Amino acid sequence: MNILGQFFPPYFSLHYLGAMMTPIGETLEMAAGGIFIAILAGLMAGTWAGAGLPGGRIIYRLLAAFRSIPDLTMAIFCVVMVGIGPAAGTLALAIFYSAAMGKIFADLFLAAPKEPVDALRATGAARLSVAMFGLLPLRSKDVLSYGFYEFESALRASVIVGAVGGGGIGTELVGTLNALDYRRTTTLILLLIVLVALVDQAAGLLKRRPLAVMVLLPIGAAAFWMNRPAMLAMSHAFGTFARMLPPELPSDAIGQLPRLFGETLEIALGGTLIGMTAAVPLGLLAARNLAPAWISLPVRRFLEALRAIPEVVWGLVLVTTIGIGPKAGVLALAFHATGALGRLYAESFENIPAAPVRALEATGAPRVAVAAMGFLPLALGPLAVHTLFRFEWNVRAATIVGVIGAGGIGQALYNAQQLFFYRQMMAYVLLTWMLVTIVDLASGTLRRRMKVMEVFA
Amino acid sequence: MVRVAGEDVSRLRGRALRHLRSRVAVVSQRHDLVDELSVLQNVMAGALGRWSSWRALRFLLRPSAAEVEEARAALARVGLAHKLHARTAGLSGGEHQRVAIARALVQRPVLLLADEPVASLDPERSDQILDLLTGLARESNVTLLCSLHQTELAHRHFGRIVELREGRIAMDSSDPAFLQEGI
Repeated sequence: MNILGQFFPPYFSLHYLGAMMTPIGETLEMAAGGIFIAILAGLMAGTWAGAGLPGGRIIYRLLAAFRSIPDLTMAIFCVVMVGIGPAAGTLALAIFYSAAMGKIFADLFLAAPKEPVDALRATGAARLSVAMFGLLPLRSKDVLSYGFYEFESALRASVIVGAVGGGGIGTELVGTLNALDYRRTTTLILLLIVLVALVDQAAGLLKRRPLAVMVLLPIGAAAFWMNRPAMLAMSHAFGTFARMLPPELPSDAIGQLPRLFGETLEIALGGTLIGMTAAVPLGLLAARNLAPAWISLPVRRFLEALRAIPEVVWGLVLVTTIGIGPKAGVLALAFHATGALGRLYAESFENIPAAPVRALEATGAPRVAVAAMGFLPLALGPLAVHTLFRFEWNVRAATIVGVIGAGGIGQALYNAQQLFFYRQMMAYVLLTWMLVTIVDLASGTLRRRMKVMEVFA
Repeated sequence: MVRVAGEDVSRLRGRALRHLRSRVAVVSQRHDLVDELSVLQNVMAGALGRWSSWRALRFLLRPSAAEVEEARAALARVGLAHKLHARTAGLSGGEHQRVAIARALVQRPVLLLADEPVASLDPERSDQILDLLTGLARESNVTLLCSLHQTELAHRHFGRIVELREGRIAMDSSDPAFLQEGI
C-alpha cells in the first residue's frame, strides 16, 4: 500500500553494483565527451566574440540564445536527431555547454585586463593574434577552472539526459521505476549522491591546481571518439531536422498554451517558494557563526545530499509515489531548491557583519531573537538575489520535470516527441526557449534594481 | 588632427591602422606584459604587426630557431639574454620594463614613443633606462620621443626638448630664439 516503503531498504549486492559500473561509466563518458567538445567549441566561439572579430556580436547573441534552451529539451531534440544512446546524450551536452561556456568565455575575455591587451594592439597585431598572445593566456586559469566547474554540472545533466534515452545511469533509473523495482531505485540514487560528492571533492582539489583539468581532455577525446559513428550520421540527422520544419501547432493545442505555461510557472514558483521557506531555518541552522558545530555540520551534509539529486530524479521518484501532475513537479523542485538555497543562505548568513550581531547578543537576547532581528535583516539582500537566481533556474527545471510527467509545457513537448509529431515538438522547443528568455530578462532587470537598492542601503 | 608619418591617425582604419601601429613602438611606465606568457613570447609579441595570425599560432606552438635567436639578440641589447626562457611573472619591476623595451626593438619601429618610462624608478635606475633608450635609438637609427616630468633628466639625456604647459608648447630647444638665449 505504502509506496514509499517499497523504496526501502536499498537493494545491495556486489553483482548489482558491478553491473552498474557500465552505466556509470557511460554517464561519465557523456559528461566528459560533451565537456570536451564544449571547451573546444566554447573557446573558439568565446574568442571570436570576446576578441571583437567580425560577426562576433552575432555569435555572442547566438550563444546567449542557445544557453536558454534547457539541457533536457536539448536532449530530447538530440535523441530525435541521432537516435537513442550515449551519442545523443553527448551531443546534447556538447551543444548546451558549448553555448554556456562560449558565453562565459566571451565575458571573461571582454573583461580581461586592459593594459597588456592595449600594448599588444599597439604593436599592430591582428585581433586574432591579440587573442592568442593576450586574451587566452591572461584568462587561462579562469577558463580551466570554469571548465571543471561545468564538468560537475554536466555530470548531473548527463544523468538527466539519460532519463530520456541518452543512456547511462539515468536510463537505468527510469528502468527500475518502470519495472516497479523501487529498492534498486534507491540504490541508484545513493550511488548518484556518492558520484556527485566525489566529483565535488575533485573540484575542490582542482581549485588549487587548475592545470589538472587537462586530464579531462584525453578522456573527453576518447569518449567523443567512441560515440563518433552515430554522431556523424549527419544525413540522417539533417533529414530528421527537415521534418521538424516549419514548427506548427494545431488550433486545439494553441488553446491549451495558457494552461501549459501556467502549469510550468506554477511548478517553478511553487518549488521556489517551498524551497525558500524550508531553506531559511535550515540555512540558519547550517550557519557556523550561529549554530554550534554539532548542529551545523549534519544540517550542511543533509542540504548537500538534497542538492546532489537533480530535480528530474526527485521528479521520477515523486511521480511514482504521489502520481502524475504538477504536485510532483512542485515537490521535486522544492527538494532540490531546499538543498541548493539552504547552502547559499548559510553562506550569506556567515558573511554578515559581526558588530551588529554582537550588539544584539549584548542585550541578552536569546539565539532565536538574534537570528530573527539580526541575521535575517542583515542578509536580506543576498538572500533575495539567490532566490531570484533559483527562480530563473527553476523555470528551466520546471520545463524539464514536465517531461517525466509533472505537466506543463515540458510534458506537451515530450508527448509530441513520443507521437513523432516533430513539427509540434519543434514548436514546443521554441516556446520553451521563449518562456525561459522572458523570465530571465524580467528577473535580470529585477536583480539589477535590487543591486541599486543594496548600494543605497 | 594628429599626423604621424604624413597620415591622419584618427581617420585610419583596419589594415592601414595596423600598419602604422607596427611602425610606432610604445614603451610606458605601466607593466603591460602578459604575465602568463614566457619572456620569449612577450618579446616576440613585438613581431605580431608583421605576422599573420597563422604565423603567430605556429610560433606559440613551435618557435623556430631564427625566432628564438631574434628574441635572444633583442634581450641581449637590454642586458637580459639570460632571462630568455624565464617566467614573466617572476621578473622584477626593472626587468619587466627592459623586456618591454626588447619587445619594442623586435617591432623594428621607425618611431619609438616612451611615455614616462622612468616615472616609478629611483634616480640611478632612471639614468640607466634613459641611457639604454637613447643608445638603442642611436644604434638602430630610430626617432625617440620621450615624455618626462623631471627637467634635469631631460637636459642630461636628450638633444631636443619641448616643454608643454597647460597643453601648449611653452618652450622648444630647437627654436632659434631659445638658442640665442642659451641654456
